[in-house]
Formats: sequence, structure tokens, C-alpha cells
Amino acid sequence: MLEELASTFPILTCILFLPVIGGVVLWLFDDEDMVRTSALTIALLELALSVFVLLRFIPESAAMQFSEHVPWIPALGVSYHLAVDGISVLFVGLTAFLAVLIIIYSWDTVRHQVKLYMMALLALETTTMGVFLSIDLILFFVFWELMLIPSYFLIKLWGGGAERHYAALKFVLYTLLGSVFMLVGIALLDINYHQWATLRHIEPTYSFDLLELLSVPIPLSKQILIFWLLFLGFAFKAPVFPFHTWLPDALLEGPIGMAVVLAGLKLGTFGFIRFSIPLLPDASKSQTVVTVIMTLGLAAILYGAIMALIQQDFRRLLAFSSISHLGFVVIGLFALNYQGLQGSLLTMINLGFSTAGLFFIAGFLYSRQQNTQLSSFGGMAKQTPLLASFFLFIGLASIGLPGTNGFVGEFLILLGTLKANWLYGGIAVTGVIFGAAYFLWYYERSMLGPLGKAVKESISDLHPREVLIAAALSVMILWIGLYPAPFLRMMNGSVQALVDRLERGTVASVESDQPVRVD
Amino acid sequence: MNLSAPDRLAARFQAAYRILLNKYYVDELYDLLWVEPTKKLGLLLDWFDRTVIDGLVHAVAQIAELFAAGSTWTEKHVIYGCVNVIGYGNHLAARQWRQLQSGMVHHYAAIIVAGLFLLAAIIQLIMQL
Amino acid sequence: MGDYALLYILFAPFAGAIALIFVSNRQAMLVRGIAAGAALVSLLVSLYLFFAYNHMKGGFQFVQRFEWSRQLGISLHLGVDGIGTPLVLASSILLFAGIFVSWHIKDRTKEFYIWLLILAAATIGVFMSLDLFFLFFFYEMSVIPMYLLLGMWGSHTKKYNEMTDPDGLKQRDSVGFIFNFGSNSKEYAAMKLVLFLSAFAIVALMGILLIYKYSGLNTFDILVLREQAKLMNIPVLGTTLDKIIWLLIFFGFASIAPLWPLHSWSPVGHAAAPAATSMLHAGVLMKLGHFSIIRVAFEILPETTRELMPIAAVLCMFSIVYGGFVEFYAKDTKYVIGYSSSSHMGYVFLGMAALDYISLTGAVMYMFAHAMATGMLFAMAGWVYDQTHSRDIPSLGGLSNRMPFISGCFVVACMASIGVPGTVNFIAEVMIIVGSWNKYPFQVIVAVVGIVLTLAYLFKMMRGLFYGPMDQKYSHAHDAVAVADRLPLLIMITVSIGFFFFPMHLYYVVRSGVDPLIAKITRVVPVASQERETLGVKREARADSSPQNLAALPGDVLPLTPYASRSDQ
Repeated sequence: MLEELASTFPILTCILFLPVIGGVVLWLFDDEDMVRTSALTIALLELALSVFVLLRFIPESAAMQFSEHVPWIPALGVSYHLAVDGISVLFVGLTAFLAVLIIIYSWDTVRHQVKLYMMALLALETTTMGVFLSIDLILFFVFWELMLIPSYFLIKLWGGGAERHYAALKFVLYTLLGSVFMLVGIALLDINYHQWATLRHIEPTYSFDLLELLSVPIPLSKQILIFWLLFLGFAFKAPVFPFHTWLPDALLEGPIGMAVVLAGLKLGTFGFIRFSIPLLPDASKSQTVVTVIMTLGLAAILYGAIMALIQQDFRRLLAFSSISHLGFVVIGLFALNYQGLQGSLLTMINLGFSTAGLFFIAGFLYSRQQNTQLSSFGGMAKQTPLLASFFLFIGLASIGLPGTNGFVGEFLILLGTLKANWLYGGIAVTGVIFGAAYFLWYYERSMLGPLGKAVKESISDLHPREVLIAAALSVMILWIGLYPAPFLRMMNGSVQALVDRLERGTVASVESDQPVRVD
Repeated sequence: MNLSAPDRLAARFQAAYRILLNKYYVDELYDLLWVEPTKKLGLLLDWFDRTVIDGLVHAVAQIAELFAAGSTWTEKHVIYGCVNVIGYGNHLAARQWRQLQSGMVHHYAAIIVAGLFLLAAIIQLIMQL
Repeated sequence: MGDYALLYILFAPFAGAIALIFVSNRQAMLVRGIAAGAALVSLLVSLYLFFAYNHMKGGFQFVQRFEWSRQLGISLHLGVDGIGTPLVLASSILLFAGIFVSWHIKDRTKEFYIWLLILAAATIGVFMSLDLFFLFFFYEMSVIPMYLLLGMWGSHTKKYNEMTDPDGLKQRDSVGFIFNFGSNSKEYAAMKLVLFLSAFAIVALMGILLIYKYSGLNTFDILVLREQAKLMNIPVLGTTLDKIIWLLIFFGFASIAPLWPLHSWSPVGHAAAPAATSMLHAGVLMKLGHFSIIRVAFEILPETTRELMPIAAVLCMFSIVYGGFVEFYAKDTKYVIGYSSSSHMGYVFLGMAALDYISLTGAVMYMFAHAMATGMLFAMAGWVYDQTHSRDIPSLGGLSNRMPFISGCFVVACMASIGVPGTVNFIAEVMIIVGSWNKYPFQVIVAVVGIVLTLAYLFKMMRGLFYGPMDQKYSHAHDAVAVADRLPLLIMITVSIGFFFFPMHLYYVVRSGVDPLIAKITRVVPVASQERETLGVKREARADSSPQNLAALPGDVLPLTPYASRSDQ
């Protein structure tokens, strides 16, 4: 009885809409502390639901689980279809986890318009969840675009920099420009489905459902066109080099909470593994695509790392390190083998702990010195040992030190890439060295050595709330680093299915504009 | 001179001593060959990122602005101009023709007579056709 | 009331206008009450009409016919199909909202409402006319109140007599008159709008009269004409008559749409008009153009439509991009919204030009959606103007602290106008993209870039109005607090968002109107192979074209393994 109830309970819908409904409830409160407490309660509830999904998730399976399917615009084949599989399930947990930490962090760092801030944050959580949970492409696009609105206001109204208006508009325009092309790509997938379904008299004749779209063949020429259209959308968002210039601006000017979401949740690369690669396996395999994307990925690794090396501002450094890490994710994805895909997926999750963690550290630094310029730090380790230790630990995780989560992911990616092409793999390895260099150099200059001129004697160490954030992240980092099996088990089934799909291609791919009938 | 053995050795092989003291200059060599060029490259790339890549983005914005200026110019001079020139022409013509309304009876009578002749001419023309 | 629904909708505003004549201007609340009451009747019956329209049956419903002149073949023939129904609803929503938006008009309140009601009623009349004569009658009737509404209750940046060129010469006497752009008097705007639209209405009228004459059926009835009029292959002036008629009708009605380059009346007119008039004007009056093209050209000349509609496909690109660019430089709030409206009408033309089931349905839904979006924007621009007496974006700013409700609604309106998901505009946009790609991929790319432009200028305007530093002289500005002030915005937002979540009824209704039309246009074959086709072989409508089939959806039989292909199972 209870089991039955649990299986029909629309838990994903609850996860999806709990934050935004909670956000509306916040409207009723006037007291700021009340607002903070309720926001935290909602986020914790959300985390509990997500953990429940993670626990009930059947690992080693490629199936879409917790599927909820309600027709929305049946005539166009748009449906409200939510589900999780091995690819997306971990992101759900990660989003909920980070949301809790962001709210804890914002407890006393956000001082004006607290209610609106929390509402925007919760709305952002809903849209992010929507991106991870949607199986229908239009539904996915809905959340993808809606995310822009709270993001815009978060950067614009609560950003710390003087250029925040510029950064907010740049971010929104950049992302929108990519997404409108993605929308055309999605429309093309639908049109292709329509042509195929009309020929075979299958009802409904339109569909935006990922599972339906997977079942139809797409001619190679069309696949390549659609691939590049989708690529624009995902690459602008990721951001893949050379479409990255919004990222340093947005991260530097926006509030820390927003930066954690932007840098911690790799929506762009998630789009690749969720839609581009499975839907367009033949295009993804094609020589040009692989070469171009591998080149961009490698360029991003080296470019990001070298740029990070000389940055004076810690948040700008993190922005470029984030671009560098994304390069790893991208080459892992387009190695198109089991290790590469698995490593990329795991690295996306890892970055949610390590890069996001470093942004929290940046936030801690910011709330002490009102900026994150190198010149305001120096020798902080003596004054703030706790901050320095967590900084080092999370930083080492982002470098990929064995024993931390970063190592597992990066190792798998390098393995996969070397297997696919030793040259690419070889170049990627040098990126790891740079990665260590920029972090350690910055750490040395800011935390070690004599006390910096701008550092006051009275500077305080982490207070309990901050320790809680850093400790929670550290636990996750250690857990994945030392015992990644449960996480890998969750994604195994889906990754294996994806590899099979890549080998098989779409049902039949032909070099013509007319879809063939497959009987 | 009461030097200990190491000091004596150091004094004797000064060059070798300095090399050994500086660990064969490996760190300096490393700095020179590797670290400094990388930093330079980093600075170069930073310049590249700010001027070229971000410049391209701004160039797109500039081009959009340029199109905007061009469109607005067209709007003002072509689209509006074409419409308004009709109104203006009408206005000019009216300014001339209103002088016919002089208020003097004999002017009007002359116009009526002229009109009658014109009418008759037209009728005749039509009859001939 | 079922059968008489259209009469209620059409004549309730007229009745309200007549009743207002007998009320004194001193009883302001009574005046507003009567106007609101008349609009409410219209709105409620329109809602009934919208939900009672039987999309399974399709065709023209709620038909009413009154003979007017047997000799000339004119009758007041009313009826709505799937295309007219949502537009009637949009008109009455905007009328109702507009009455509340102009709640604070003090100057000659009674007369204002009379003309507003007549304007809306005439618009509604076009959407339900099945007779060319009355279609044109209502069309012209909607233009005349605009003159009075603009000229008397409008606002302007300069008085007519003060319009001078740099040399101090009266502008009307100088060549500078030709280039006056951006700063205009309301008299100029009113005159320009009415003359421009009337001139092009004459063009359309010539087309209508040519149809009347050459069909030889002695009737203006569209239902008869579309079945029996034989206008094809009559050589005239080196081309064929149908092409001439089509062009006359297309450009005659496209001027109000407004299609580039016939748009120059529209921003000026929007800028000068009072808020409620701008709402009705941009919201529904502009759609008269598209609607009349669909009703007259598509219905009566389907083959010519297929042949000549590429004209619209070319011009719509200019509409979209050009309008978007001009807005970057516009500094007047209403100019920005006005140009955005004419830019967005390009999407409707794109949807129409593709002549596809989905794209035309999308185009009609876009008209409905855009009515709400632009209505909101104009209502809010009007509110800001009422509070600050300024439409100049650079001099405004920081108003979000003074008017949080308005600035919140403005975000929603921007989203709707851009077509961000969350509003029905998005669905319409997707449909236009999906439907038009096969025929006009380049235009689709231009259109989606236009979306980015829209975001850029609307956000720029939003920032200019509501954020940044505020001038102290606006510290007296206040928010919309009263129910009467909030109601119109809330109605439009509800409709816009509501139809995003539940678009299916709207879709089916529109689709039932679009299906026969597109079937007729795409079924006809080129003249050369016409003989084979006309031998009683009626090509079957495609399987997907009837809404009945579309309603049926298979149960949840989706494969559980995501990457397994269908053939594996």
C-alpha cells in the first residue's frame, strides 16, 4: 500500500515546484529573519526530497525513473514529461545541496531586499531543477530561458561590482542569443520527427519528447545542422571557449550566490550529454565535429589555465579556472567512450562541490575584505587558520589531488581521451599541471608568507555558519574522492546505454533529406 | 689563515661553489625557461581576451548600434520623408492657390468665365472623340 | 442567448456609447460605470463565445444575417470562425482593460468613453463581418474615432504651432517639416494616422470593388464569393486581374498591420494616443490588417495567395529587424513600444507567409498573445506618463522604488513581448518557427535574432525607467494601488500566463479556422495541371489536419530504456 503510494506519488513535480511555491509563500512574511528561516526550511525540504529520490533511484539502470507524463500541448507534441536517469539524477541532488548552502551563506551577507533575493533564488532553483528534470525539449527550453529572469535580477540588484548592470545584460543577451538558435534546432528535431511520423502514419505526428525523438532516424546532414544549432545554445551557456567572455564579468559583478550557481552547475555541458550526443550520435561522431570540439576543449583547458595564472582577482581566476575545467568536461564528452563520458559526468558533479566551494571561499574572503583582489590578502593563514585550511583542501580538490573527488573525474577523462586519441590526451595532461600552478601560486601569495599590508590584525576566522558550509563541501569532496562507487553506480547504466547508442547511431542514417522508412 | 676544510674548498673552487650553492641554478633556469614565459604568455592572453575576444563581442554590439543608427536615419529621411513630402507639397501648393481667394468679386467672375471656357473646350474634345 | 452572442458583443459597446450621450459629464462615476458595464457585457459574452465555439464542427458559427440592400447584395452578415473568435475575445478584453486604464481621465470623460467604445465596437465588427461591405464599413469606422481620440486626449512632445526648425521658422512652412521625426504634436499624429490609413483603405476598397464587379455575383457576401467567384486568368494590364486585386487588398490592409515600409503612421500614432487608445490600437487595430488579408485575400483568392505570399515573406524580415533597430535609438517610451509592435507584426506575417497549418495557427495565436503583451506595455507606459508627465527615457529612472507593482508587472510584460516562456507568446513563437522552417529557413533565423533584439531594447527601456538613479522631481509618483488601477494589468497578465499553461482550447479553436483555409490554399494545383485535379478528385485532408485526430493521444507507452530504438522492441 505504502509502496504503491510511493510509486505513484509525483515526487519530481514536488521537487520542481516546491521552491517556487515556497518563494510565493515568502511574499507573506515581512520579518527578514522569518524570511530567511522559511527559505532555509524550503531548501532543506527540497534537499530531503532530492535525497529521497537518490535513495530510491535504481542504480546500474538506463531506464528513465520516476517518470511523470502529462500531455500539455498534445497537438504540437509538447508534454509535461519529467524523469531522471543516471545522467540527471545526481544533478538534482547537487542543485538542492548547493541551494541550501547558498541560503546559509546569504544569511547575513545579503542585507537589502532579502525577501526578493530569496524569492529570486528559489525561482532560480526551480528553473535549474526544471532543466535537469525535463525530458520534453520544449519543457527543457522553457526552464532554460526562464532561468534568465531571476539570474538577471540577481546579478543586477544584488551584485557587488560597479559594472553589474552591464554584466547582467551581457549575460542575458549572450545566453539568449545561443538559446534562440537552440530553439531552432529543437524545432528542426520536431520537424524531422513530423516528416517521419507522417510517412509511417504514427500518431501523434509532432513530438518534442526526448524518448520519442530518440526513436526516429535523422539524416546525417540534418544531424550536423541540428548539432551546431544546439551547440550554440549549450556552448554559450557552458561557456565553451571562445564564447566565454560573459562569465568573468557575471562572476565578478554578480553576488556570490549567483556565481555558485553559474560556476557550480554545468548546465551547458549537461545539455550536450543529455540531448546533443544521444539525439545526434552520428553527428557527434563525425570527424569535423569531433575535431572542432576537441580543439575548442583543449584550447579552453590551456587558455583558461594560463589566463587564471596571472589573474589578480580571485573571482576572475575562478572564472578562468572554471573555463579550463569545462574544457576537460568537453573533451571527455567528445572522447565518446565509456571512461570519457563517465569521467565528464562525474567531473560536472565534482565541480559543483569544488568550484562552487572555491566560490564560497571567495565569498568568505569578500565578506572580510570587501573584494577579492590579491592585494588585499597575504599571509592570512596566521590570522585565519580555518579559512586557510578549507581553502587549501577545496583548492586541492579542484586541482584533482588523489584522495579528493577531482582526481577520480579527471583521471577518467584523461583515460578516455587517451584511449580516443593519444595526442588530445597528451595535451590535456599539461592542463593538469597548469591547474595546479595557478591555484597553488595564488594560494601561496594570499595565504602564506608575511601578513599583507591590507590585512588587519582584527580579521576574524570563519564563523560557525561558514564552517558549516565549508565542512559540508569537504565531506562530499572526501566521500567522492575516497569512495566514488555509489556515484559511479548511479550513472553506469545510462552511460553504458549512451555508449551503445553512439555505436549504433540513429536507427538508420542516410545522406538524404528524406527520412527513409524503416520496417 | 685558519679556515676549516669546507671553507678552504669553497675558496679554492669558487665557481663550483657558487653553482652548488645555487643548486646548479635549476630554479633560476626553470624560472627563465618556463615560469617567466608562461607568465608573459598569460599576460599576452589576458590582453587578447580583453581586446580581441571581448572586442569581438563589443564589435557585434557596435555593428548593431551602427545598424540602429542606419535604420533610424532611413526612418527619418526616407520613410518619414516620403510621407511628409506629400503633406509638404500639399502645403506649398495650397499656399499658392489660396491667393485665388482674393475676396474681390471681379476676380471670381473672371475665374468663372475662364472655367466655363475650359468646360466647353473639354466637352468639345470629348464630342470629337 | 447563444445565437445572438455576436449581436450582444457588437452592439453592447454601441449601446453604451448611445447611453453615455444622455449622461452629464459631471457624473463621472456614472459615465465610467456605464462604459465599464457595456464593456463587461461584451467581455462576458466574448468569453462565452470563445468557450462555446465548437471547434469540432469548425466553420462559421453564431451566424446572423440581416438583409440591408437586396439590389446591391449587401447584408449585415455576422459570424465567427476559429480565427475571428480569439480576436473578438482579445478586443473585448482590451476594451474592458482600457476602460480602467483611462479611469483618471478628467477632460471630457463622457466623450472619451463614447469614442473609445465606438472604436472597440468597430474593431469587433471587422472580426465578425462576413460581408465585404460591412467589413470595410467597420474598418473605416475604426479609423475615425482614432482621429478624435488622438487629437483631443492625446499627448505630445511639442505643440503644433511650436514645431519650428533650427532657424526658428515655423516647421509647417519649412522643408524641415519633411524630416520631423521623434518630436511631434498630437494634431500632426492624428492627421497623419487618419490620412495614411484612409488612403490605403481606399486601395483596399478598390480591390473589394473589383472583386464585386468581376465576380458578377452581385453580392458582397464572403461565403458566396469564396465558393463562386471566378477571378482567375482574366488578363488585365499585362498581368492577370486576380494578382492586381490581391495586391490591392494585401497592401491596402497591410498598411494597418503595419508591414514595412508602410509603418510610419504607427509609432507616431501610438506615441500621441492616450494609453487606452494605444492599447486598443496596437493590441487589436493592427490585427485588422492581418485579419482582413486572411479573410479577404486568403478566402477569396487562395491560388493567388499561394503565388504572391512570398512578398510578405520578404517584407516581414525588414519589419522584424528594422523595427528592432530603430528602437535602439528611440528615447520615447511609447515610440519604443510602438516600434516593437510593428516589429512583432513581422512574425505574424512570417507565419502567414509560410502557408502551413502550424505556422498560420501560430500567427493567429501570436496576434492574440501580442494583444495582451502590448496592451500591458502601453498601459504601463501610460501609467508612468500619468505619474511623471514624461515619456523621455533618459530623464526617467529609479521608479521601481516608487512603483514596485508596476515595475513587477513590467517584467512580465517584457517577458511576454520577448516571447520568453511563461507567456502564450512563446508557444505562438515556437509554432511559427516550426511551421515556417521548411519554407523560409532564412526568415526564421532572422526572426529568432529579432527576439534577441527585442530583449535588448526592452531591457534597456526597463532599466531606463525603473532602475538607476531617480530624479527628485518624480518623488511624488506613486504606484498603482487601487483595484481599478491594478485590475486591467492583472487581467492581461492572467490571460497571457493562463493560455501558456492551458493553450489547447485556443489552439483547437484557431486550428479549426486555419485548417480549411490552408487546405484550400495548398490543395489548389498550378494552372497547368488543373484539369486533372478538378475531375471531382478531392484530395483528402492530411491525417493530422483535423483537430479531432489531434485530440486523441496514445497512452503512456514510452520506452523505458532511453537509448533503445523503437525497432528493438
